[in-house]
Amino acid sequence: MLKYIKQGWLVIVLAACFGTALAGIHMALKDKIAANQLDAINTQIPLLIPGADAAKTQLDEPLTKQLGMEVRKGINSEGKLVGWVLRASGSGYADKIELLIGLDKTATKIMGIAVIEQQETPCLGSKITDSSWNDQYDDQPTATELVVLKGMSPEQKLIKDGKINAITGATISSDAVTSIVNDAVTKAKPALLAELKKDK
Amino acid sequence: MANDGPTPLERFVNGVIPENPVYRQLLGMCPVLAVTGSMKAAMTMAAAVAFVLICANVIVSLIRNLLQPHLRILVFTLTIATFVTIADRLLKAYMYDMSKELGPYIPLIIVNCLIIARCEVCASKQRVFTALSDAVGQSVGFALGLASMATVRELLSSGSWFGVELFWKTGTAGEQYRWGLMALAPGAFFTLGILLGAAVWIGSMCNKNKTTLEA
Repeated sequence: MLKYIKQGWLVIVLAACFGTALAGIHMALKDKIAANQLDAINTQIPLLIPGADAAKTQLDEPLTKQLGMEVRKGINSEGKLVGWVLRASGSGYADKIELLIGLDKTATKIMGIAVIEQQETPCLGSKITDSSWNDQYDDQPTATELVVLKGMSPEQKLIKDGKINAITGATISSDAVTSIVNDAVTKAKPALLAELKKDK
Repeated sequence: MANDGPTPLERFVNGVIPENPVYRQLLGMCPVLAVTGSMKAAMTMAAAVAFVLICANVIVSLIRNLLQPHLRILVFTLTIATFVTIADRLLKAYMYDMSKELGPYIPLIIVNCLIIARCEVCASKQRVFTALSDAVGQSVGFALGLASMATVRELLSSGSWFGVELFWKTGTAGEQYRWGLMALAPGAFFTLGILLGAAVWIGSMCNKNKTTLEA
């Protein structure tokens, strides 16, 4: 025993010192990091739900617990409910994709989506973050599941009938985003409607 | 204690060109290939590596006389991991978007062979000042390597440098001149191969000139 301590005391002392230093750094920075993460979500909320006030929009804890995904109530500056923001994730082509999905008050329409976390192939799958592509989800109905098609014409894209045009060369990423949206909406819609009735 | 190894100045100069980490020692290839798609990402990575390398070299040099030979790698790794975690936290707190862009490559500095090699070769044997100038020299050399790769790749893939769009393409009209492949992994390998070849060729030309002069 003594032999080991004699040989390893430096490692033990260093580990203790470094551990303390890291704990200190973590204590000093953890609030700032958490604020950054929240900011990344908050800046997206007014873009997803027009009229929503990021400062008033808050996490709905009972619904979040019930559905197993973060649900935020989009509140406008007059304190009225204008929509919902779901935070959903699923596997993409390379790694997990995390989305924010904006729904209108009655959950009949998707207001928009935003990608907050993705590691898709740069220049191909990473186009899911481009608004020129994910604007397609705006105003899509939630009555039926969205489907992904290839090579839609510009005119077809303008009709919001639940069809999404795949990114050329990144069909898997396009499918992944669409199925995350479908799953989240299907799962959350009944709960959101029930909540709405309760409010009335 | 006699200073057997190279002097601080030699260590510094060697790190920049003659023993350049990227083109001569071929160390730290993971970030060289992975984060050189844009200048901003590459320079943030270079700064993070410089921070870790300098801190680790100084600490290891300070405790070099206490090191047990069979436990030294453990101590190096412990030291490096600590500073990498600090760098990661700092980036997350003050450069959130950049830390997201660099993703796992900041934590992966822990296994960057460049840093462990400098601890082993220089810091565990020489004085603090020598270790410090060695770390600074190697960091400058590493930054030059990353910058050269990132310049070529960012220019060809998006026509910009440090995110500033350059002359030949503006707006969507320039879209067709973008060479998207250069932003992907194959582009990284092509660029590294060609630049490495060029570096070796220039090196051999310099050597040839030297020998003809001497002869």
